[in-house]
Amino acid sequence: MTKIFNFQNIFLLFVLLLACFIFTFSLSNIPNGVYVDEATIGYNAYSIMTTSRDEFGKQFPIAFRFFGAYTPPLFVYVAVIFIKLLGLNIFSLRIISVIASFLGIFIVYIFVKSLDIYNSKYTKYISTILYITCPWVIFNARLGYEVTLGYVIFSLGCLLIWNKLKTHQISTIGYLLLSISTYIAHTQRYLAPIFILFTAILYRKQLFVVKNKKHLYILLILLFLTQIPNLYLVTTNAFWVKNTNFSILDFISQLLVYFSPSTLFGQSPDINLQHTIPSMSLFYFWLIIPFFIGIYRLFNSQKNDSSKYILLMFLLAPIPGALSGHFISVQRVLTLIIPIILIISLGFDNLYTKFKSVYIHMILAISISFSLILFWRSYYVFFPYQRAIWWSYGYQQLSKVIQDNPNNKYIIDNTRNSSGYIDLLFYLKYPAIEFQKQFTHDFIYKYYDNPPYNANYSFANISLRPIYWQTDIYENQILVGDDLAISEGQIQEHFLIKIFDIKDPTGKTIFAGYQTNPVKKMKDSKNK
Amino acid sequence: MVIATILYLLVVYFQYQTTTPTNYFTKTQIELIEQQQRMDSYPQYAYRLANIIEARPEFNIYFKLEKNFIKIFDLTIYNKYLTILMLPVFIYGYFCLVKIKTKQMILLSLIPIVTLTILGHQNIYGPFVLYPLIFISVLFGIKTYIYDQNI
Repeated sequence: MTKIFNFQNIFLLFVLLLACFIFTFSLSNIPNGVYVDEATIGYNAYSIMTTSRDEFGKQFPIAFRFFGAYTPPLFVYVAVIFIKLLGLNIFSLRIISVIASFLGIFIVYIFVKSLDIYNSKYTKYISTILYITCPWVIFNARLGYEVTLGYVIFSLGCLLIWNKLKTHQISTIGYLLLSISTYIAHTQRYLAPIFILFTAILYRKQLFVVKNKKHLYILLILLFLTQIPNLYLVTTNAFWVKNTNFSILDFISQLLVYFSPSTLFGQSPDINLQHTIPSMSLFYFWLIIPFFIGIYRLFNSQKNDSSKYILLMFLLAPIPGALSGHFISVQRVLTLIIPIILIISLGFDNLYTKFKSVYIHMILAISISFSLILFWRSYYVFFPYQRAIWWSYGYQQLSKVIQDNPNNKYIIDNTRNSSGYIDLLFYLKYPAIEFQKQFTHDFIYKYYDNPPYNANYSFANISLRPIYWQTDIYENQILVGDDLAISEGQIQEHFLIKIFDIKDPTGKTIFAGYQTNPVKKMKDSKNK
Repeated sequence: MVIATILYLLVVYFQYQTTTPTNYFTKTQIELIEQQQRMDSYPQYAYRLANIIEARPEFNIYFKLEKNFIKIFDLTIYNKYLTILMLPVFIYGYFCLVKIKTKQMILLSLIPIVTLTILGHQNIYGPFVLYPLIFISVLFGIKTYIYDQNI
C-alpha cells in the first residue's frame, strides 16, 4: 500500500486530474465552432464507418483527399472508433487529442527521468506541470484533427529510441512508431525520415555494432513494410501537394522565425488566426529565462549524449514547417513542444542547484497561477468572441434551420468559403452513400492524381454555389449568405424577405436567410 | 569591468536620447478602442475581473513591459542591421563568455535588456544598445573557435 501512495504517484495523480480539467473543460463548446479540418475528418470517418469509403467514394484511402491536401489517413481511421462509440459529434474528435496529450505528460516525465543531465529530484515533476499548463499544449489538446496525435506519437517514438539508444540497443517499437507517425500528419511524414537519418549519423557508434546486426535487419524490413503505402504515394501527386516552391532563403528565414524566442514566448507570427489564441503566446513569456538557462546548460554539456539528443529533437523539429511554404504555421512545428519543455526543465534544474527549492516552488506557483488567469482570459473569454468566425461558427445554427424546415430549398452562397459544405454534411449527418453519388468513376480512378476540385455541391434540400441573381430570384427558395453576398440594394430590388439571421458573438451577421418572392418579382419585371 | 559598465551606460544614454519612450500612463485612441472591445467580450460574472485586468494601470504597465521585453528577442528585427550569419557565432561566443565571466556577463546583458524593456523599441537606429554585447560575443566566438576550443 505504501508503495502506491508515495509522493511520485500522488503528484502524478494530481497532474493528471489537473490536466483532465484543463484539457476537457467545456471541450465541445470551446473552440465554439467546428473548424473545417475537424468537420472533414469527422465526416470522412463517418463515411468510412458507414460505407467503407471516404466522402468522394474512394474505398479505404491511404491518403485522404479532403480539399486537395491528401492528409495522412491514420487519424481518420482512429476517429472511426470514437465516432462508433460516441456518435458523430465534435467531442468524439477532440477527445482523441485529449488522450494523446495525456500520453504527452508521461512522455515528458519519462524523458526527464531517463536523460542523465537532470540532477534535481523535482525537475521531472516540474516538467509535467510546465507541459499541462503550456498554452500551446492546451490549445492543441483540444483540437479535433491530426496534428496533436502526430506530434505525440512521434515524441513517444523518440522516447523509446532514446531509452534503448543509451544502452547501445535498437528500439524496434520506437522506430516503428516514427514510421507510423508518418501516417498521422504531414509534418511527421517528412520529419520521421530526417530524424532517423540524423540519429543514425550521430549515434552510429552506438547503433551499428555487431550485437545489433540482427535487430537492424529486422528493423529495416519492418520499416520497409510499414512504408509501402507511402512508397506507393511517392509515385503520385498526392504525396507532393505540401511542397510548394522551395528556396534556400525562404527556408533559412522561416527557420529563423520558428526558432525566434519572440515566436515561442511572444506574439505568434502565424497569420492563420485559427492556429492561435488572442493575446497569448505559445509558451508563457517568463519561461524564456529558464529556456535560455537550459540552452546554456546544453551548450556546456554538448558532448553528453542526452544533450545531443535534446538538441537533435529541437533543431530538427521545425524543418518540415520551414520547407512547406512561405507562410509561418505554428501547427507544422508542434514537435518543438516536447524538446522545448525539456530545455525549460533543464533551466529549472539548473536553478535548483543555485537556489533553495522552496523559493523556486513559490515563484513557480505564483507565476503559473497568474499565467493561468491570463490564459483563462485569452482562451475562454477572447478566443470564442474574437475567433468564432475562424472556427466556422454559425454552421451548427444553419444546419438546425435547414433540419427544422425540410420542405424549403436553400441556396447557400459559397463564393468566399468553398469548404462550408463539409460542416453542413457533418452537422446534418447526411448519408455518405448519397453524397458519394455525385462523383464519377473516373474521379475515383484518378483519386491520387489530384483531379480538379469543384466546390459547388447539391445534397438534401441544399445547393452550395454562388447566387445567380438572373434566375434564382424567380424560384421559390431561400437564399443564404452574409452581408457581402446579399446587399441591402438586392433585398429591395428583388423583394427578398428576411427569415433568419445568424450572428457571431460580436454581433456580426454570418448567415442571413432570405425568402425569394418570385410572384412579386415577375410582376415587377413585367411592369418595367 | 567598471570602464566597460561606464561605456555601456553611455550607449544607454544615446539609446535613451534617440528613442520615443513607451507611454505607460496614457492610452492612444486605438488602445482605448481595443480595451473596450476586450471589456465587451467578458461574461457578466467576470466584470470585476475585467475591470482589474483591462482597466487598471498596473496591468497596462505590465502588458507593455512584457511586449517590450519579448521584442528584444525577435531575431527577425536584427536582420535589418546585422547579418544572420552572425547568430551562431554570437551564441557560441556569448555562452563562452558567460562560462568564463558569469556575473559580469549577466550584468552586461541586463543593462541593454532592462533599457529596452523600459524604453521600448521606437527608435530609427534600432536597438543599438545591444550591439556592444553582440559584437563582443561575436569577436570572442571567432577568437575562441580559432584559438581555444577547450573553454
